[in-house]
Amino acid sequence: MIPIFRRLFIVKLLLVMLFISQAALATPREDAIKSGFLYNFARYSDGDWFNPDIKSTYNICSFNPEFIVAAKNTLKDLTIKKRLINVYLLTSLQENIVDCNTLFLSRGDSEKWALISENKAFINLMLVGEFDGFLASGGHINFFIVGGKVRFEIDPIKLKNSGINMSSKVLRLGRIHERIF
Amino acid sequence: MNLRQILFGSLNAKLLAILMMVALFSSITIAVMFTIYELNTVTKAEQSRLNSIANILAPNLTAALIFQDEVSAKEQIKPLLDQSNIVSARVEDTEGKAFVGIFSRKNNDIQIFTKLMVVSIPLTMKGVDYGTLTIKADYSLIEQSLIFFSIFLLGILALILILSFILSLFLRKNLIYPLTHLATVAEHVTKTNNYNLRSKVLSRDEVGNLASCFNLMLETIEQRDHSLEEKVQQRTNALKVANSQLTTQAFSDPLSGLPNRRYILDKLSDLITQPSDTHFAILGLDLDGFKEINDTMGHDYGDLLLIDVSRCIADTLPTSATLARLGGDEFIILVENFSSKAFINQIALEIHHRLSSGFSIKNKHVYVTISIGIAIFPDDGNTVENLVKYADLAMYKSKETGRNCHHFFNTIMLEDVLKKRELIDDLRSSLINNEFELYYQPIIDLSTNKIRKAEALIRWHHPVRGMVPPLEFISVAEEVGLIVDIGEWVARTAAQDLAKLKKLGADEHFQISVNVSPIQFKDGGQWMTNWFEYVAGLGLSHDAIIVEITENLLMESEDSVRSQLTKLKKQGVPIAIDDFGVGYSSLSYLQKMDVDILKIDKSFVDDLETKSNSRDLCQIMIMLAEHLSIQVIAEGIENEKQKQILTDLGCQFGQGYLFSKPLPLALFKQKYFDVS
Repeated sequence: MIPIFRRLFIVKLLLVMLFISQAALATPREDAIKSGFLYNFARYSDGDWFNPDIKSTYNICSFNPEFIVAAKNTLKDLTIKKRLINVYLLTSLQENIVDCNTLFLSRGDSEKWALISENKAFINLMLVGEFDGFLASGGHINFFIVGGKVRFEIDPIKLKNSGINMSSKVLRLGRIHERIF
Repeated sequence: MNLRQILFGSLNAKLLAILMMVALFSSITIAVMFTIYELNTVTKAEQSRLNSIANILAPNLTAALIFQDEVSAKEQIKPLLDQSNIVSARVEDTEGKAFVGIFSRKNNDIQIFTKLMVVSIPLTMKGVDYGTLTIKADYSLIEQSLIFFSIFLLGILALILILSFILSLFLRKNLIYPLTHLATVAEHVTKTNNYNLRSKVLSRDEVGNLASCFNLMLETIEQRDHSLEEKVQQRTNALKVANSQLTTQAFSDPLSGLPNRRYILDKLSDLITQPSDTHFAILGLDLDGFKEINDTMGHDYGDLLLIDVSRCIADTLPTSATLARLGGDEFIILVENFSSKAFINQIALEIHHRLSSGFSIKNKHVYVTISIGIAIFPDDGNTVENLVKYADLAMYKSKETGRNCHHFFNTIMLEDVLKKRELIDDLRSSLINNEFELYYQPIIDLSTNKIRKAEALIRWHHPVRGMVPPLEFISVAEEVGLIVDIGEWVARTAAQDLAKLKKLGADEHFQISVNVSPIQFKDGGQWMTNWFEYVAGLGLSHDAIIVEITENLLMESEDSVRSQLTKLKKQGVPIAIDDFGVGYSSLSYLQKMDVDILKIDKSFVDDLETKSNSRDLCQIMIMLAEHLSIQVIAEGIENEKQKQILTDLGCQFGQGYLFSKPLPLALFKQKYFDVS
């Protein structure tokens, strides 16, 4: 018979191993969730930012290759307004991000964002980030983690200004960014 | 009284019950229909409401589900629990895993519908199914609504029933009351037979028409009733009159107006059955010779005579006496509480006296006498039958003793009657016992002194009484009709004996005479036919036997008797008139009847020697017979002088003790036909 103490040790060891593995796998899963959120933001939105008549794909762009991998897996074969989703990895700031419909800026892209957004207004592009000050710096939607869950905050005015009419159903789910006029 | 009788015992109750039942049934039917309708409506409305709620929540919940925002989703469905009937709401993903859910333990008092109403709608986004929203609610709201509705309906039902009841009362007054009033009047008429009653005509409909017709019918019945009563009264009066007449007829004699037999016998019976010390006398009366008066003067005279006699007798009677007519010429007088027999005797004498003066009927003076027999209660008898019978016996005694007299009953009369009855009984057996014998008395030719004829005379040898003379029994035999058989026996025996005598050498013209009673001719003379055959069988001629009849027979007999005598005569039988000269001596019958022999009565022969008129009468009779070519026989010759006188007068034959007394056949044969 296995002694009680030995059994307790084995259980504790298994729990630690599980925690470690989860921390290691958190990023791709989180990315997958976030890619899903991007997809759903597009689905609940109308406006000129994406015209399926002139675009063959809905382009989701990001500078984060891990995100791209996760998003491609998550959004494979999905469509927005009957157009397949194309997940596109931006490799440089010079690349034309105008073809992007959604631009995701991960935590590590804050500096890039600073460069891109400087004195520049983006029209027909949904801007989604995940770092502090993103909305204040001109972003539309910003992810944040609460209780281990991905939540988001929205600046509806900027979305409107960018030609994006997001459904109130989504707006209601997110935290409305309060700006100081 | 059971429920059915209470409910349907009267028209009122029936109408009330029917109206209430119709109202109740209609109300319940409508209530059930409305309830079912309301239940469906409320249920559908609740389902629709829940669906609406779900549909309102669905888009946001879809978004929440898509964005895995449990908090938001919960926030959205949590207000559902504020609804009193929603017990849970649950959002599930497509795999059935719960995304969010809420649950509340409601304390709703649910009694009818214990199941839950479930509304489930899919959470879709642009055709893609992301999960399901399921809302469960109890039926408390529906039940409350239904209970409220039911209470409302019950109120309506009660209202309808009250209205129905009021309506039935109204109908009772306007529809049923005329009918019940009519029924009450009809019942009253039936119970009391009072056809003066009338029903009020309370409406102008069929019931009013019925009441009018009923009143007309009552009027008709009343009229008929009156008519019938009048007829019944008339017939009752007629019946009373008829009954009175019948009673009068039943107890009175229509001819004389006197009480009749029934009345007097009933009265006698009543008197006898009275416990008090009653005594009375009855006088039986019978008119003497009334038959002759009836026959000679006619029945109308007879009836008038009876009426006059009735009045005459009634006038003589005291007030305590009652005169009744029994029938024919028989009367009876009842004298109650008489003082003595002398008083009764005086009444009888007075009756005789009053009747002796005679009566004038149709200008003809008629004399009539009466025979009276008297019996007294209780001395002579104690029954009506005996008293009447004893009065009759006494009356017969008066008849026997010469009529026009009265006799009180005594026991000797009864004994005589009993003796007579015994004699009759003995007579009935005498022929069977061969107790009769014929004696023969010779009839002698006075000129030659030779026997020419003989008269057969019957003798009765009774084993106890001894020799009974004919005078004692012939009249009784005639009275009871036995004379017919006896007469036939005499005729046959005489014929038989004559045949024997002929064989012994009797003369060819030797004849035997037999006496024949008038009674023998009353049965149509059948005996003659038999006798002729018998005589022929003996080898005798019809003229060998002489039939002797009395003069009275010829006088009194009817035409039928005369015709039978004529028949005998035509058959060659000689007819002799016996006892000639002592009766009416009407010579006319000698002209009507072809008589062969006259037998002069012994009374004339007895006085031949002493009385010249007897001799003269005998001479006349002999001369009469001689002129009519009739033989003459003188009866009762007892001596030679009488014989000589008769011979001198020309009488041919003689009969009497001078020659011989009647002899038995054996002696007669020995004496006259030399038979030793």
